[in-house]
Amino acid sequence: MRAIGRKASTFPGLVAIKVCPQFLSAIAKPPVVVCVSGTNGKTTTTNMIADCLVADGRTVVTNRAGANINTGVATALMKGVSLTGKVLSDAAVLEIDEKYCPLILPFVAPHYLVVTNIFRDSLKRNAHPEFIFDIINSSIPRETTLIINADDLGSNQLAPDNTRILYGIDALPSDVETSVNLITDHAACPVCDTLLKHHYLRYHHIGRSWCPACGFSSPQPDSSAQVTGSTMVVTTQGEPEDYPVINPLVFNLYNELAVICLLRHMGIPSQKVATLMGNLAVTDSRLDETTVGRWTIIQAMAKGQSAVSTTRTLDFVKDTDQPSLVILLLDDYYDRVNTSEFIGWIYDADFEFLATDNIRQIAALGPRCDDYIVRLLIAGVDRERIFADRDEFARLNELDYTDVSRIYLLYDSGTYELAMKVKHAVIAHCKSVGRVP
Amino acid sequence: MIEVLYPEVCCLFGDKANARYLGLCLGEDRLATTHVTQTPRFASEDPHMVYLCSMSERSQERVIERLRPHRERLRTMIDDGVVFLLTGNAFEVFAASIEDDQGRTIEGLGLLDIQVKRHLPTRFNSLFLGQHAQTKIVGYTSRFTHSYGYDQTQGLFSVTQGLGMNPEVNYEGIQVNNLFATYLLGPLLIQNPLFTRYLLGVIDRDAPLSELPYEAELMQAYETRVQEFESGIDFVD
Repeated sequence: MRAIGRKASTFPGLVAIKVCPQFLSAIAKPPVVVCVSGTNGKTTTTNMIADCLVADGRTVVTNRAGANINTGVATALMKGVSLTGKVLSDAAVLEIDEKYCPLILPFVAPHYLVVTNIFRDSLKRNAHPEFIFDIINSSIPRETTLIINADDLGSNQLAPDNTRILYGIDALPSDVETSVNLITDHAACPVCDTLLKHHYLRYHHIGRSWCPACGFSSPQPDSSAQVTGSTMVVTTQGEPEDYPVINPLVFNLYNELAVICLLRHMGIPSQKVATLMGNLAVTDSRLDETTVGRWTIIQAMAKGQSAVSTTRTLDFVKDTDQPSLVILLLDDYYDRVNTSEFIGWIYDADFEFLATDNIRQIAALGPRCDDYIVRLLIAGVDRERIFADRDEFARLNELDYTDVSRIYLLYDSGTYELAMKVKHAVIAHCKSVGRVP
Repeated sequence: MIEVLYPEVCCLFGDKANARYLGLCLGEDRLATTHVTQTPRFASEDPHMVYLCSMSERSQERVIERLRPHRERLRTMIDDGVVFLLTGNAFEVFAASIEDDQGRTIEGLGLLDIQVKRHLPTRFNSLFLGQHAQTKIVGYTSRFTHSYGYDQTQGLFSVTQGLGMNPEVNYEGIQVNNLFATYLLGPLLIQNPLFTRYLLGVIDRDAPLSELPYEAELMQAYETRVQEFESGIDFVD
């Protein structure tokens, strides 16, 4: 495929659907089909499920390359059948873009659908959470079993008549009762409009909520997890089971719990699931650290145009306990080429988290740097701590490296290559001024 | 007093930044928030301004029903020149009707003589460059709807480039006395400091603000964006 300049992850499926519009219905499928959708965490969750099933000895087809639209799904399913149509795999694990659910779910008819969460996301692509909820909800086949997050009011009302496995995480030490975020997608009771109260909140609307007026509350999870250190105890119907914590960040705990619930519901014994989870080498691909002399350079991905995802990254940065320099490379890769990015989302993201003493300087680099200056000022960042330039490279040497030991590089997934070039330029400068070989 | 209506449901697309910036301009103590289940302050008090942000389609119907008992009071306030700022799809609540994609007609408050047509799931995204009097306006619209049927002399902004109230007209938004309604969404006031200065002058005629908060930085960003929008970039996805 590469030889003829086509994407191997989608092109065969594109041709198949072009030739046969009913292809996703018609193609023979493995005995188990799992689909994973939602705003955040679907790639990580899909990969974890696929890795566990492979480690369990099963043959799995998956769209791991991130080809999560109908043509990518078709391509993945094609890998699981022979030329004569014979099924060659034991399971399909398919990541599904939320907006493509209507073109995939009714035709693939998955046995399981994992929905990680529903948040506001890119304005242009996803409009608002209610729109995405309706798209997913209207696409779910009646026979599909849902694995959904009880602590997410954005998705826990999906397909109420289906078989649903709800998972949740019990109170954590880091929980709060009042939101610390600028936005929440579910502040009002969906039944009576009264402002919701919360037994606990984690971030944005994730937590357990209740209505003081009508009695509405977040649904009770079928499987609830207690997290203590490196252990997650998942209790289902009164039976506790121990699992290792793979990654302690809250959103990764939810991803892991979703996978555990799915695997257990598929009939894999708890001891086996614990072993599979323990063998997963899940690292946070969004983070990478490099040490150069006295500086630690931390690249942290933020999903551009997504206020919630960016806020998760800002929340991570705010906890720095070292004098730090933060470089923002968040301009949208595509919009910067031919158009102009809508920057409303940066007013939904908690840049206020950067107004902290340990963050000595914030460098907004790229075409939208003037907008970031304004945003940071409104966030309460002192003007003298803000550095800005439309050219990402021209004045990197002028940043204040002297009093900091950490350099955070926040980038959008689309600007990864640009971010890596900036990172290498920063490393070169640090080596130069720090006399690091 | 600036009454911000229903921020728990009218909170999409960064619109809330406008209220926040008004608080910086006029003082936080002048902002009053009214939740959906509360009786609006304007029902018994005389706010200088009422602000309503973008919301979801279901929220529009909830808001219409919450405001319907106050329809005549709202009409009187509009007639009396009270300032209203309605951003994104908020003004559709004030329309005569909203026809949804299923052919269902939702009765609006009927305070603006316009009909709204939803085209779900088609999303209309467009940058906007226009004029308010001699002031250039920059912004962004992203919506499922177009609006029809009002007098174009009441258009809030003329369209230089981008999408107006519907694809056939060259005006955007609607102004009735001091009601300013626009499909533009996000931090409109932050992105348009000259218009913000004008609006603040309407709100506080007797005590105009001498300088906007962070005015130099706002103007720099504004001028950058105007220049960018006039440089031949793509306006519509």
